[in-house]
Amino acid sequence: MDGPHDLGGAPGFGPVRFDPDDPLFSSDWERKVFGLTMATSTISLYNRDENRHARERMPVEEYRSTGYFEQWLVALETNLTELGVLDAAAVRERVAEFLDEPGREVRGKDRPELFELFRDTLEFGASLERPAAPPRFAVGSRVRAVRDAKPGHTRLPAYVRGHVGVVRRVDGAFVLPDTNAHHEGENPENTYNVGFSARDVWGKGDHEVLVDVWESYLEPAD
Amino acid sequence: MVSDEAELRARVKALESLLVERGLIGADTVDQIVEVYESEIGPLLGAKVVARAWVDPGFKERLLSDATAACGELGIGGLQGEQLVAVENTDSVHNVVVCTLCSCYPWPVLGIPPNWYKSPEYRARMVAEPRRVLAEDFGLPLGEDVEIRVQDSSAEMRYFTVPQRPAGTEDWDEERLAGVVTRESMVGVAVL
Repeated sequence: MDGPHDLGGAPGFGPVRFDPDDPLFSSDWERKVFGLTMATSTISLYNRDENRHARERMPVEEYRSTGYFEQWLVALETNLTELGVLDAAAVRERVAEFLDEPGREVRGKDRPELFELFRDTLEFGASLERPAAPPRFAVGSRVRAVRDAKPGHTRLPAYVRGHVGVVRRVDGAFVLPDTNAHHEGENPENTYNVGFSARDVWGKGDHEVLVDVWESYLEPAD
Repeated sequence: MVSDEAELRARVKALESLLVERGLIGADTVDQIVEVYESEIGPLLGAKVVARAWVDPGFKERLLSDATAACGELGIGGLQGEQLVAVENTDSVHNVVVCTLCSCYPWPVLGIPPNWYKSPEYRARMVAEPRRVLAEDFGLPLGEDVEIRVQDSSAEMRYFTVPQRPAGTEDWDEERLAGVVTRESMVGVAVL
């Protein structure tokens, strides 16, 4: 889909506010949002692709006026209520309670075994690599990125659509985000590292942009 | 629609308290998880990898051909780094890493990403005008003869760069070398 998240080459942005000493979290609620997201994804309440898609579905004006961890919070609220883990009305009611009593803390039972589960995920990862058919393209193949944006989740950046690039590396097969985000199966596909010339993509620039893409995002260019 | 801090705090507490009540997480879970990223996992790990590559040519070769396995030799790997790729910066080629669609980043070697990396400005502009962004926003003017490669982390590979070893460090040991490797140099927005 064309979403507000797809920012590569988007015009109108000013300087990057670079600060090497920026803290990872600028407030306690940001810290909690990060931890809650990690906790709920570790127990597989939703998958990585649908989590991304929940952020991408935000209206553009909302996405742009919302900070990074607030976007994560919106995705948490979206996923947990849409998937039926939490009831939307109960969440609204609870928010009102905490607004009335800002000093009230979250209390409840500790679950040390959940942290152990997280430790395992952290150590061993959660690879989305899967067996698949042999790759259709090889290093050096000239390929064109497909022109059309699919309606749902996809990982093909808009700026390369319709452009021709060269396969620089073949990376093995991975779960296809386009279907995984919508619970339509893993459908693993080979992925490729494809180099595009900035001059081809933007009409200027002397650099190469390398993009990682799933096989169905590409067609032969010759 | 700018939410104020009090509302954001209440929204977060609401989710956490309901999840705790449902028994899906514990009251201790969130803090325990975040502490891992605050105290254990960060760019110091990537710095170890880079320093090893500088002193051990065999390791460097393995790192550049299969970074996941090479980092694994040092006990480094895992979540959001299941497929690591290391790219080398030289006198003639400068690599820089971005994620234009979200904030993909090699967590096991660099920790969780800093704010500037996740910012819309960085995501929008680094792919389109890296020479200018590096020079103006990061104070890294690169010569016209240096080829720039921008890596957009749009699938499952997670990238980091191996910066050039600074001059005058020929007799330094690995630990001392690791001390000078910065997060920025491993994303490719700085040189050492």
